Amino acid sequence: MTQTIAPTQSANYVGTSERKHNGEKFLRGEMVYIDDIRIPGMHFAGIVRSPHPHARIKSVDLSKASVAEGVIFVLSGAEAAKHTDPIPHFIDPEAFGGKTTDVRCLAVDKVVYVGEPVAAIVARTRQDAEAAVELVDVEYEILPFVIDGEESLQPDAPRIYEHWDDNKIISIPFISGDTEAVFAQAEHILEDELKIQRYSTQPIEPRGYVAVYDSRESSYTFYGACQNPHPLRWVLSHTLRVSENDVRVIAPTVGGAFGLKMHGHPEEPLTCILSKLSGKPVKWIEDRTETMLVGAREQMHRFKVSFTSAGKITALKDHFVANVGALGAPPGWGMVFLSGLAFPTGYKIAATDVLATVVASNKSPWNAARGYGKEATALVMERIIDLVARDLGMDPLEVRRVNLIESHEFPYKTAGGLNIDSGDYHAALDKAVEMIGLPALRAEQEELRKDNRYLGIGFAFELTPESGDIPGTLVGGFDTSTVKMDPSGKVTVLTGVTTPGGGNDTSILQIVSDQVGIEISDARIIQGDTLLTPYGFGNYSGRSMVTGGNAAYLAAKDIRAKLLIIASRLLETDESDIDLRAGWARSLSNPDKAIKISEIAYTVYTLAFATATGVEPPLESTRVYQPENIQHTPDAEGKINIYPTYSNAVHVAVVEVDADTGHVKVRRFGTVHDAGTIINPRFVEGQMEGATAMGIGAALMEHSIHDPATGHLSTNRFKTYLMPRASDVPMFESVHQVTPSPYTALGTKGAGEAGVGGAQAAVTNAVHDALAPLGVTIRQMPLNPQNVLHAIITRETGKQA
Amino acid sequence: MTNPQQNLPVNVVVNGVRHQVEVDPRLALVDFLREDLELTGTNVGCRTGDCGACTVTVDGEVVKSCLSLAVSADGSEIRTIEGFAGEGEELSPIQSAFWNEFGFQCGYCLPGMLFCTEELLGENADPSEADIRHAIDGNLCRCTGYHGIVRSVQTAAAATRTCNRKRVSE
Amino acid sequence: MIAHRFKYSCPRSAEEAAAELAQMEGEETAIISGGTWVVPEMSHHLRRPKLVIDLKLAGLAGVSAEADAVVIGPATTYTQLAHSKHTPNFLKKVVAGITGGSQIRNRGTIGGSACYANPASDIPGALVTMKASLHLRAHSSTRIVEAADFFLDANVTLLEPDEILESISIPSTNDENLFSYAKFKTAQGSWPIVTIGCIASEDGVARRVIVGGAGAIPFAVDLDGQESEDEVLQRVHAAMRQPWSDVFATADTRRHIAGVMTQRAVREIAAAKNGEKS
Ligand SMILES: Cc1cc2nc3c(=O)[nH]c(=O)nc-3n(C[C@H](O)[C@H](O)[C@H](O)COP(=O)(O)OP(=O)(O)OC[C@H]3O[C@@H](n4cnc5c(N)ncnc54)[C@H](O)[C@@H]3O)c2cc1C
Repeated sequence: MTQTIAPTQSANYVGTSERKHNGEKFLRGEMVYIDDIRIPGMHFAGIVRSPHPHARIKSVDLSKASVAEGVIFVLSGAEAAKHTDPIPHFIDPEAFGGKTTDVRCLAVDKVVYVGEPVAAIVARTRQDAEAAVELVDVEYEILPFVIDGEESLQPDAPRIYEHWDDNKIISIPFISGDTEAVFAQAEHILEDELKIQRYSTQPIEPRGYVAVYDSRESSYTFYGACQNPHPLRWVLSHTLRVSENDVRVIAPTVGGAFGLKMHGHPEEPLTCILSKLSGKPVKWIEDRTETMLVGAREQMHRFKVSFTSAGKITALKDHFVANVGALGAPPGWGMVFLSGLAFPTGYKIAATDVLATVVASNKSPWNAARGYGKEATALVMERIIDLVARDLGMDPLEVRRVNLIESHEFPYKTAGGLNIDSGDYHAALDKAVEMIGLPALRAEQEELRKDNRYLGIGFAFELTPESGDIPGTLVGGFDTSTVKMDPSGKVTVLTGVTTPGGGNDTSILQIVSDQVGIEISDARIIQGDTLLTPYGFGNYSGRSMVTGGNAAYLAAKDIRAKLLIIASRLLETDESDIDLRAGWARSLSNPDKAIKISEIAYTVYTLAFATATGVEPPLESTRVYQPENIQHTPDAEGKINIYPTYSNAVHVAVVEVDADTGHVKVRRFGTVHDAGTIINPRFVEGQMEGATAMGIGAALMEHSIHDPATGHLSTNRFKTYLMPRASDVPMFESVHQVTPSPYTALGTKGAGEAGVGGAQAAVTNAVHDALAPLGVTIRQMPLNPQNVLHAIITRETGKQA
Repeated sequence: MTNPQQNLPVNVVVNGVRHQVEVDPRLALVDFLREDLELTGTNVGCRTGDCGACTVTVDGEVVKSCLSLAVSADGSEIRTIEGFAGEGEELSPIQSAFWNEFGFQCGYCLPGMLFCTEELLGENADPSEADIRHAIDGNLCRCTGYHGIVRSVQTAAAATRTCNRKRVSE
Repeated sequence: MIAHRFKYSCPRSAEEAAAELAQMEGEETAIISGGTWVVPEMSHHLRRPKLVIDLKLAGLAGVSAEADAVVIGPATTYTQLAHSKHTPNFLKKVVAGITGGSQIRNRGTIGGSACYANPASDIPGALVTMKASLHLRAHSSTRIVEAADFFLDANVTLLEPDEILESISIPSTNDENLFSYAKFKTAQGSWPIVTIGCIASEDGVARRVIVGGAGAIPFAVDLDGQESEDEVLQRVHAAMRQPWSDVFATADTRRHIAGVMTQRAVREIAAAKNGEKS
C-alpha cells in the first residue's frame, strides 16, 4: 500500500491568492443566475405599482387584464390578504421600543410610496404580463404626502400610518458620560451639520424569484436572488401560512447583492402565492426602475464637539435623523441603529450623547446597504476630526493620533458598549502616510495652488464592527458548515453562508483543502439551498469567513483527525510525523513513506471493522462556529456587544478639485487594511476595492432623488443614478496590516463592509483639504459639481463652522 | 393600414451555429439569445444600454443586445460569451487573464468586459491604463472597483503581445 | 420587454421608407436607425408605435465629400464617422467623446441623435455649430432646413410624422476653422451639464460659441471678434434664457458652468493658436 512516488507539488492554500475555484464557468457564461432558471410550465408575473406616494385604494378593477392575451391569473391586494399574512420584519422596530406596521405583499387599503405593489398578473410570457399590468384600473383617493425626513417629524406632517401618533419610528439614545457638563467646561467647541444623501446599492443583477408550488406536497420551492436562504424560509413560511419545513429556498448564483438581496421584499411571498393560486411555476424578474426604488443611508447629522487645544476631543453630541422612507420588512431601518452604536468609532471620547431618530416618509423603503450604517458614522467622525484640526490649525493626522485607541489598550470597550478586539491604529496611520508619500504630495499641493489648482489629501480612519448578532432576530452571529469526504477522497463542503460573488466559497475550500490535505480541485462546495446545507444565516456583515469559514475549519479538522489515525496505522508512524498535503499523507521523517488520501478514505469506508476500527465512519462532520466576544447579557451599564470582530482601515485619498466648476477627480487612493488573519489576500483586497469604489461613488455622485412635487423617484435609471465607471476611479493601492482577532478560531475578522465609509470620508476630507485656501465647508453630500460649487459660491454668506 | 406581425423568419449564425427560426418581432436581441436559443450567458441588467451586461458581437462589432430587435439581426453573425473562447477547449488569453487577475467577482458584467477587452486589444496591442478604462467605460461593475479588471486587461494585453510575437517569429 | 405588437419593415431606400410613413395616417411610428434610443423606449413602454421602420437596408449610412459640403447619411454610426476620412474634424472630436462605450458608438447614429433631439446629446449642438443643413423627405416632397431651425424644443424637431431625415450636409469650410469642443459632466457615464463648441477665425479669435445641454435646444452666439472675454460671457449668459434644471445641476449652476466652460473654450483656441506660432 505504501507508495514511494513522491508528489513534487505541495499545496498549502491558506494565505495564498488562489483564484476563483469555479472561475472557468463564469468566464464561459455557464453560471446559472436567477433569470437563467427555467422550469417546465413556468409563467411570468407582472406587478401593478402605485403611481402615488400616498393614497387610499378605492377599487381595483382587474377585469380587462384578466381577459388579456396570455393572462391566466390576476390578484388584488384584498384577495392576496386572504391567503397571506403580513411579512415578518427582519428587525421589528417594536421589539426595540419603536412603532411598527404590517407590511403586506400587496397593499390592501392604502399605498404609502410610489412603486408599492398593488395588484399582480400571471401570464404565459413576460410580454403578456407587462402588457396586462397596464390594463389594471386602480382608483385612488390621493392623500397629502411627505418625502422630507425633517418635515415628516413635524406635528402637522401628513400621517403615514394612521395608527401612529406621529411619523417617528423610533429614537435610540447612545449615551455615555455627561456631555453637557463637559461642554460647559470646554476649551473649544465646534458645531456643524452634514446631510448624507439617499443612496441605492444597485448590483448589476436586479432581484428576481421563481416560485414552484407543489399542490400534492403542499410545499414551495423558491429560487431567489437572495443573501439569506434559511432566514428567508422562515419569513416565507410565516407569510404563506405553511410550516417552515414545507419551504425550500434555493439561491442560485447571485450577481452582486450589497444588502439589496436581504429579504423582506413584497415580491418574495407574492411570487409564491401567485404560483399556488395560479397552479403554475411563476417567475418574476425586476426591472432596473424597480431596483432603483430601494433606498438607504439618508441621514441628517447635527453635531457638537468639545476639545482641548491639544486636539483631544472631550465630548461629542450628535442628534441625527434618518429618513428611511416607508417602513418595509427588510432590515433597512436597522442601519440607523448601527450608525448610532458605532460612535465614536476608534476614538477615545469619554462623553457621548448620540441620538438616532428614525423617521418614516412617503419615499420607498430602505434595505440594508454595504456598511450597514457604520459608513455614516465613519463619515461623520472623520469630518469631525478634520474640522477640529482646521479649528485648531493642527495637522488632522495629529488630531487622529491624539484620539485613537492605542494598541496596548485592546480589547477596548467603547462608549457604546462595543468591545473592540485588536488592532494597531497608529501603525496603520503611519503606513498610510508612508504609502502615499505625503511630503511630496504636500509640496505638489503648494506648487499647484500657485496656479489656482486645488490638490487635496484626505485621510480617514474606519472601524468596521462585523459578523454581528442582533438578539431576538434572525440576524445570527454563528454559522454552520459540513465537510464530507467520500470513499474516493473527494470532498464536499456544505455551508450556511452564501456568496454574492466575493469568493468566500473559494476561501472556504482553501481552508478545508489544507486541513484534509487535498488538491482544491478535488473539493466542491454547496451553498444556498435550505434542503442541502446545514442551518445558516447567509451573507451580511462581513461574516462569511468568520462564521462559515471557521465552522468549515472545525469540521475539516475533525476529518483530518480521522485521516491521521488511519494514516499512522498504514504508514506505521506517529500521527505527529504525518503531513497531509496535495492528496497525500506522508511521513515527515521518511518522506518516501506516503499514501494517497483517497486510499485512506477508502479504508475508512471499507475496512471499518479492520484497519479503521475505532474511527467512526463516515468521514463527515458538521460544526457550528460561534465566535467569542458577543455579549448579549447587558453589562453593569446595561450595554451589550453584538459584534465579535472589528476590522479597521486607514484610507487616504488624493483628489483634484476644479474650483470653477466644482468637479472632483480622484487621482490616487490608498488603504491600509486590517482584516485579521487573511485566508486569500486578493479576495480581501477585492472586497476593499469594490467597497472603496462604492464609497467614492457615495462621496461624489450617487444620489437617489425624489421629485418633491410628485413623490416620484427622478433617478430611476443608470443615466440619472450615477455610479462610478472605470474612468471615475484610480488604481487602488493597498497594504495589509494583520492583527489577528483573539476571538475567532483562525484570527480572521470580517471583510466586505469596510471601505464604503472610509472611502467616502477620505474623499470628503480630501476635497476640503483641496479647498482649504477658499475656506469652504460642504454640508450636503454627495460632492458633485452642484453641491461643491454651491458651497464655494455661497461660502462668504454661508454658515461658518 | 398596418397589421401587427406575428413571427418573422430570422437567419443568424450564433457562435458558429446557423439558426433558421421564426422570431417574435417584439423580442430584443438579448431575449432572443436567452429565451429562444437558451444562451443565458448574456445577462440583462438595465435594458437601457447603460450597464453592458448584455454585450455580444454582431458581425464583429461589439453591441449591447438590449438595444436592438432580434429581427434586425437577420443575416448576421453573432458571438456571445459562450462562444468567446472560440473553437478550442482552452480559455482564451483574455479569459485566463480575467481569471488569474481577479477580474470579476459576481461575474454578471463579464460579457461586456470580455468583448470590450477583445475589441481594444484588436486595435491597440499596448494600451495605457487610460485607454483601458476608456474601453470598458460602457460597462458597469459594482463588485471590483475596476481594479482587477484593469489588471486583467493589462495582463491580457501582455499575453496577446507575446502570442503575436511568437506567431511572427514562426 | 416590448409588450405591444407592431409591424416591422425594412425599406430599401429613403423613398420607400417615406412611402410607408405616408400610409400611416397619423398612427405612431418609430424609425430604427441604430435603435439605441428607440428600442429601450419601447422596452419600457414609453413608446408604442404601430409601425417600426428599420433603416438598416435603406442605404442611408456613409460619409462622402462633395464640392462644397460633406454629406453624411443619417444612419452613419459614430464609429463610422470616427473612421471616415471625410468626417469634419470638429465632428470627429465630438464623436470621440460619446459615452456608453464602443457598443454605443458602434450602433448609435448621427441621424438618430439629431431626430431624437435630446437636450443633453452632443449631436444637436454639433450640427448647429457646423451650420449643417438637414434634408428631409416626405412621400411626395423634400425640403432642406438649417440645423439652427431644426431643433424646436426638448425632443421636438421640425420633422413631420411622415418625414424622414435623408441626409445631413456640412459645409466644407468647417475644416478651415480653428475650433474647440468641451463637455462638462458629473461623471464619466453621465449626461453633460453643458457642452461648448467654439469656432474661431484663423487668428484664433472666437467667432461663434455654441452651447448645448444647458437648455432645451442648443443655441449659438455669433461674435464679431472684437468682444472682450467678459463681453463674450455676457453674450452667452444673455442667450441662456431658460437654463435646464435637472438632477445633476440647477439652472443657476448650469449658467455658471456654461460661463466657465465658454471662457476655457475661447482661451483654449487662443492658446493653441499661440502655441502654433511659437
Ligand atoms: C449608454 C448610452 C450612452 C450615450 N451617450 C451619449 C453621449 O455621450 N452623447 C450623445 O450625444 N448621445 C449619447 N447617447 C445617445 C445616443 O447618441 C443616441 O442613442 C444615438 O445617437 C441615437 O441614435 P440611434 O441611431 O441609435 O437612434 P434610434 O434609437 O434609432 O432613433 C432615435 C429617434 O430618432 C428617430 N429617427 C432615427 N433616424 C431617423 C431618420 N432618419 N428620420 C427620422 N427619424 C429618425 C427615431 O424614430 C427615434 O425617435 C447615449 C446612449 C446610450 C444608450
